[in-house]
Amino acid sequence: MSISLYRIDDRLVHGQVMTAWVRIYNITKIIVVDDLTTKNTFLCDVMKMAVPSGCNVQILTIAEAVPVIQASGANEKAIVLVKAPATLRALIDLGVVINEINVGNVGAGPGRKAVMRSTQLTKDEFDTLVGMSAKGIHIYFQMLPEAKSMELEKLKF
Amino acid sequence: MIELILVSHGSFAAGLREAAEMILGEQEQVSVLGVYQGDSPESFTLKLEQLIDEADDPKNVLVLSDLQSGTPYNAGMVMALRKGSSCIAGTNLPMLLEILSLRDEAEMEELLQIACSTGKAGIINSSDLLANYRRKEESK
Repeated sequence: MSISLYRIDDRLVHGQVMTAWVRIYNITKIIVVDDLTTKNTFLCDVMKMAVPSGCNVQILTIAEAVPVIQASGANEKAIVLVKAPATLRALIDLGVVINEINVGNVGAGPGRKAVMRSTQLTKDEFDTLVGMSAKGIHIYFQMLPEAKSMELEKLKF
Repeated sequence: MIELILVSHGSFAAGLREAAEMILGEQEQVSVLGVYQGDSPESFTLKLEQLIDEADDPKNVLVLSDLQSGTPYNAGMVMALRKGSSCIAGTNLPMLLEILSLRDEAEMEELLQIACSTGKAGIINSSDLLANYRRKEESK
């Protein structure tokens, strides 16, 4: 398995933030997992245009992503990018092994509350993270590689 | 004349137009569209599509968005792919003022180039200015 980073960021692929993570982990492949996004081919194109150069991007449904993640070779370093905790939960339920989750920016919305300055989650999403953490997955909040990180355990909803 | 649609999170687009009109006076063919909490990306894209369809020629429409990969930008880029309009991310006031003063005559490609370089040049760091100023004063 050569997934360097599982990241939750509701903007998925976007300029500077992705560039920073890609650089720090020498990422060559970005795997976006979002069922809804895959249905919008124009949006997929727009997202692919925002990818840092030197990086491949695949935009997949949850079902499509499982074998891709499991088969990713040791010679390519990949980021898996999702919008919400439930997507990672679904990947795990389908057999993907995840040891660590980085939570990044999630914007405001109905029912969402700021658990960190740039991370707004619903109670459900927060509980999903807590549930995954209880199973031994290390979950931390960090926007950029050079920014401070915060452990999930230290946060309350 | 190149038609403009300012798109943003919240009322930034409307505020930007208001600021530009304070400086240059009332402007024609500048629409604004904001995405607000609870709006879906799909409904926003649909609203933008309607605005572009109302234009005389979609290829003559420039969508000025606030932030790359945000919903307004994504919608603007989807329209660029589908309708042949143009889109810029990271719009600021210096950029908008330049566009407003050139859009009567300039071609789209040229306008895009000038807009982006003006936008970048409009970002100023006070430390740099002060350092330059002090160096000059000392050398007097």
